[in-house]
Amino acid sequence: MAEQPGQFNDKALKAAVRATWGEQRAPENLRRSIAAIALAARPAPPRFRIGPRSLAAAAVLVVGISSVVFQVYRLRPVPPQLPNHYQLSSSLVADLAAKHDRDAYLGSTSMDLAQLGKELSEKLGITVLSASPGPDYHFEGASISTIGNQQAAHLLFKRGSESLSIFSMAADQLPHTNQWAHYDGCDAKHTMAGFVQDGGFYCLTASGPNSARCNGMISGAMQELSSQFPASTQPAK
Amino acid sequence: MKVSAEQFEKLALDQMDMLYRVAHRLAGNAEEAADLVQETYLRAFKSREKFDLKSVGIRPWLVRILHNLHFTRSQRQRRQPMATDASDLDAMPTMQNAAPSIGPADLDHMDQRMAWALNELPGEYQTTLLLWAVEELSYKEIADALEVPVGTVMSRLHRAKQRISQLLQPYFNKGMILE
Repeated sequence: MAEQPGQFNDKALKAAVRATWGEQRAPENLRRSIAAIALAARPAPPRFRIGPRSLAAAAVLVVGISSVVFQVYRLRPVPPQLPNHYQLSSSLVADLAAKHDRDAYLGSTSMDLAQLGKELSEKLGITVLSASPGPDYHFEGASISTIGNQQAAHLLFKRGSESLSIFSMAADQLPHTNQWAHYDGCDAKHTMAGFVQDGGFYCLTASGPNSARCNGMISGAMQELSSQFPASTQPAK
Repeated sequence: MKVSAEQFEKLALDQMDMLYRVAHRLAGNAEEAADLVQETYLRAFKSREKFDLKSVGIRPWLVRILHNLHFTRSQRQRRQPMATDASDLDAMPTMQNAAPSIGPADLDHMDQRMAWALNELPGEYQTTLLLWAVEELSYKEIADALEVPVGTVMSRLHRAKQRISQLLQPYFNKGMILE
């Protein structure tokens, strides 16, 4: 039997093969490389999975928040709007400022403002505002000047180093002549505010060393002068 | 049956020694064997989704990848002419892979003779023998791994035994490994 090739005892051959090759192990450096490959091949953990329920909850939340935001926006306090409120043109501002400064010592200085107003009204064909803007003011004089393309009555008052002019003219040159249309404007040294009433335009121009006080001068004078006009024609407050 | 990524990793890494042994049989040297195993794992992890534990076990599947890789590399190398340095030729022994110079009557050295005979077998025979004897794969599993018919596996084993018998003929009269 020994001379017949292929007549192996499988058990003995297996044992011999195992003894020859069975003890071979992958070297350590190969193990490390393979471990690194396995690590790199691991699928990245899912970052964020959104299920249908979560999606629905998120949608409800978004709709809810949007609704609240919309309601808050809708009910927010809206700053009061100022209808009939316009800006004086820059040319008119320049004219008013120039006359306010230049006419300071011109014209009548009659202390009877009512009589003065009557005379000026007759000359200009409109009602001229000729009341004192306040007890502290001193009347400096009056004149008829040209503002824009209109003749205007100009009454000048002083209070210390502060000056206040009251201009009365026809409202024709203004873009909006509706009753109680309100205009204002300013430059570096002057503050102006006026209104339209019965076809006339009445504009106050204030100046002084402290420009911040000019707004106060204007509003105080407006209060004082408003008594000159019938209450029914004044704007509702 | 599909397995999870963690299960696959464990299954695959458990076969590292087996793959290294097979690679060593095919490649013939440790360096190329390590390279083959590394490339095999790269491909295996890349193809993880395709692996089905039920249709084929992890061992035949991995061996198949390794075997295909080796086959492709061998074909590529065969197509490329290789230059051999004169120094390499000088370094080669005159009787490479010669049988161990042990007297026929020396039973104590039979294991060395067997090892020599096994290593003299062609790579495919070595691989088949290894998968059968050491890894204890069935004929069917070996056939799956090497992508050959079962009959080819059986014939390779038979021829491997024949070849070993021929190589060890001078020592057979000692009757150590024969029936």
